[in-house]
Amino acid sequence: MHRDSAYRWRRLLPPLLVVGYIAGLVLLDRGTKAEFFPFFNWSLFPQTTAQRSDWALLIYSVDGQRLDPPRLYYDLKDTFDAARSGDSTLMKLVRRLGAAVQRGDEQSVTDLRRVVEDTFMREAQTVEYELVVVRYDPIVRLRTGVIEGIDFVEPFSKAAAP
Amino acid sequence: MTIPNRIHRVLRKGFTGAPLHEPVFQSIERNFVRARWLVKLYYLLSAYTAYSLMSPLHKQARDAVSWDFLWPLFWMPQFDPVRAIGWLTLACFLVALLAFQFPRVLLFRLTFVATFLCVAAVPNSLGGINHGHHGWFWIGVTFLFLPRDAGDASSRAVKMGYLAVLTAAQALLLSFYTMAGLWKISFGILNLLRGAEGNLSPRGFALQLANRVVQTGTDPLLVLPAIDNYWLSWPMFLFVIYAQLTALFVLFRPRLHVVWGYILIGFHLGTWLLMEISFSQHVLFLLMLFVLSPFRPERRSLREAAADLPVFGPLARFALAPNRQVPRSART
Repeated sequence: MHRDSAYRWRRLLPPLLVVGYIAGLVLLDRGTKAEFFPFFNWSLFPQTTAQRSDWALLIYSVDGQRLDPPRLYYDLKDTFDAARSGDSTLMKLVRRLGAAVQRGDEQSVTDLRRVVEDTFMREAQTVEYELVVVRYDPIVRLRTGVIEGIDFVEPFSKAAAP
Repeated sequence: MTIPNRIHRVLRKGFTGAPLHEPVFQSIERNFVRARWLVKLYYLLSAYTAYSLMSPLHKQARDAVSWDFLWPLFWMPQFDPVRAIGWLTLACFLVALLAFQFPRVLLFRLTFVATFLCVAAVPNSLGGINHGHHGWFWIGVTFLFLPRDAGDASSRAVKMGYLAVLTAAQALLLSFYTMAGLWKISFGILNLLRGAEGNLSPRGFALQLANRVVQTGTDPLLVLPAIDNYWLSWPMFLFVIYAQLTALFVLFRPRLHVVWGYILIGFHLGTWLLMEISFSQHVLFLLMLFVLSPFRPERRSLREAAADLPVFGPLARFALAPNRQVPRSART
């Protein structure tokens, strides 16, 4: 009885589903470090090291007020909602922006910048900022705030809406 | 025994809990009843999830000026996002209710998965993808393969097919954790070979936690004690890697389903307390499919569960009962 069709092919479903999911991951990998939703390789916090480098946004001015010294986006908790809530979506967006700048993908840079400026900087009319790579030891930076170095990649500015 | 017969036997026994002997048939009946309730529970919790997403997605839609819509929402730019997202979450909630009330109707299960895919795409359409809803979506996909049952009157083949689909959902979810563990161990070994600090170094976990805090400026409840006392937190991290890496193995050990369910819930509690990363949907499906696993044994015994532990099972079997035979695991 158990050889009935209701069971016959479903017994293969567990391995087929796992293998199919992994095949989907591989086949849909577009090589741009962008995931193909809803597939994900579950590479969550895979790497840790004392010499970190990470994409970030360095803010020079907000609504014409210069920041001296310039501050990283997530340090401006009084200005931006996403900084206040520690929203990691922006962090991932900035990584994609950095990857797009690196490969010279102008269209993606324009599209991603629009989301950064219109949505994550909606609290300000004008913002001068730069895409940077910060280098640091995480524990030293946490305890003292010291960043070992900043590589400046590309300056941008959000202009006031017409 | 021929090779095809051998493979067939392994697949029957290993993946689906299919019976090899007549007495196991009784457990099929019991597991099937549990599985049907779990499917109902999945759609009930889906309705709750869709309802609880209405307010945050409405707020997000109101606040967002520009979007980076994922492919399931390719149609969204044709409409006003605030209203379209409102209708979408409402539709998802209603079909989840329908799937809850009529879980045997494929159309409702299919419509739920389609609408939930779009709903889950909304918070991820701002340029960065978070992964809290992926697992829930894939359970819905797996449940599309459920056979149309007739309740207690279902044939044994239908009941076994039903259980095979539940096993498939468990397998897929556990494979996610195993993938996460594989990445951590791979990079950990790589860093060891390079002579650099990494996941397998005593300060590795502390570095990971500190990095998360400085990246997004969060202030998790227990992060500072965990960093300051890294000799205590590091072994916990190693245990997490072990639990993730071996998760798929647990599929074949029903006596560990409840234990691994709680271990992985503990892991998600840790991601909140130490990193302010919430995986509430994962906690739900771990409770549902593992703590309440349809394959969990009637009689619970920590001693027997310890004997099934991946890698350490034989050692535990010897240490806990050197003179007694602990029964080998079998899918019940």
